[in-house]
Amino acid sequence: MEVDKGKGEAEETRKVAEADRDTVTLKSSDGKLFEVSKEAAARLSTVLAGMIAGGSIDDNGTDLKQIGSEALENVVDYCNKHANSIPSAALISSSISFNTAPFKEPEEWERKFVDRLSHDALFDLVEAANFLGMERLLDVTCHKISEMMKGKSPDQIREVFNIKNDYTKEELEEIRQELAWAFYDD
Amino acid sequence: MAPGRRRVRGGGRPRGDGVDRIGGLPDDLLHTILHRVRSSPDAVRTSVLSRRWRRVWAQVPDLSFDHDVDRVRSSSILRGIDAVVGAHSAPTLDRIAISVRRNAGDPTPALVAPWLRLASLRLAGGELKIRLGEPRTLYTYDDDGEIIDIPPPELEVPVCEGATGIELELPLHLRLAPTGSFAALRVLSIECNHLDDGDLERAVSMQCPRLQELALSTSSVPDHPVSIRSDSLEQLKLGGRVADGQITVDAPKLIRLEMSRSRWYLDLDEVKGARIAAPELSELIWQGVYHSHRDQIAETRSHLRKLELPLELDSNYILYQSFMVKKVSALLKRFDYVDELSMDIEIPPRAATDTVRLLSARHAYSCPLHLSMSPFIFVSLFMCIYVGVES
Repeated sequence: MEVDKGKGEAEETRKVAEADRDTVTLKSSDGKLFEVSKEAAARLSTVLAGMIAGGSIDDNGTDLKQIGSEALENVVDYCNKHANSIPSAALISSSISFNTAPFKEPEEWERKFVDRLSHDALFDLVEAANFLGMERLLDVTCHKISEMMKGKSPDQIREVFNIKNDYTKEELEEIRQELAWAFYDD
Repeated sequence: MAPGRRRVRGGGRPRGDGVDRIGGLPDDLLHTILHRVRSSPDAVRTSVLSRRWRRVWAQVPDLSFDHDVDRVRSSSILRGIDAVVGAHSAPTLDRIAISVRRNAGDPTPALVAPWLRLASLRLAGGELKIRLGEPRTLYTYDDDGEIIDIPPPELEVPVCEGATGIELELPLHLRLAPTGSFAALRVLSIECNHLDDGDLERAVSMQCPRLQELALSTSSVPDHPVSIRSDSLEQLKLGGRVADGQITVDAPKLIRLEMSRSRWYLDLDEVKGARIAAPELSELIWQGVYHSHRDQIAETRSHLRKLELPLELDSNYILYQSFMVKKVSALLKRFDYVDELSMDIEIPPRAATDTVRLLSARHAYSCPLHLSMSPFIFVSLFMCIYVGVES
């Protein structure tokens, strides 16, 4: 709820100054500052778009206390790359069909972008994208996670994601019987 | 301004190896992740991971079974689909895609009806795809030893207001719901044993106001002339026996038409005739015979962007081939200009020049003519002929 703070307090003059700048400054939970294009931030994040429209952007760095510096750096990096990679025509069409299309496959650079992340950095980025309402980045990161699950047995999935099996033997047997059709031979 | 519409659980947890990060994500993100796995059996299998995952799969807005990909036994896949259809609790679905091989069991109306009902009730802005094997006419023998067709069982397809695409490959006699609207439908593809002509006419002209693409193929000739009238239709593909019957097409926006008459269909007397009124038509693919009188492509420009004649001939049927070339020549004469003409012909080397002469003498199109031929020969027109005879 940090983002709500500045809204009422924002002075008219600051709003005007803010409107003139073409970047916004974001502050991570550990106090680091990042600059991002205002246009890209507004287009890719519903939360930042709302803050920009509502004048609740802080010139000295808008506090995003839920997001660590590493994740915020990735968010900003993603926004900048996105702004540079999409031609204007595609930009228009993607905004129109945003809610009607099922989901779009990540583009090559988006795949590379998430592929280089560590396990923790990937999940930090999912959470940051979720917090900031960044549908496209969520799509890309969730796609990556789904690829980590695809074609794997439950044991393999537990191992990849450090999931602790907290069922009792009896419970597990019950589920396996209920869903016997789904278990081929493991 | 509220932060993101989803709330993150367990935000400030310690990091490091061994931490279950995925279990900390909110349910709707897990749904998004499983959605992208695009396999209901895989999604269902996550229920054994841990208590956190027990019922996550049931809310994934997607139902996907693909017999060729899913690791599920043929003997249990239908049971699995039933279980998932029955237990699924997502308020809306954006995709139902079920593809099952013939060996899984009989595709009966009782089996498929609940799937269609689920689509009718929950599908919102997505596609419905059900493939249960190609329709084939089944035969039996009567007491006198005569062959008689076994009529396929009937199934009514309910209206799916939210479906943007419907693809059905069902060895059944299909009926379409008489009332209601496929309001969002843009693409409809039906391959079945039989579709009631009246149902099709009504659906296309009245119940599908946004229909842009229609593909229809049946294994039985329609009982009555089929009439396809649509103000929105841009692409039409007619195949199987329905293309052999009498057809009227009236589609002011139609750009592309593909007619595939039965391949070995030689008897011109059996052509009932297609009357096409499509003023915007620019791509025509015509497979099989074209009857110079009964078939009429009227109210169409004399200039086509593309004309494709997949004759599907091979060199063993050279007589048949020249017959076929003659049988489509009336179609070639129908148009004054064609930007791209494409034919598939296989010709033995000696016969090549004859065939090309036959084609070129009659139709001096000023356009590139693509003839894909046997390995022996490659012919490219502007009357340039290259003959590479195999040594």
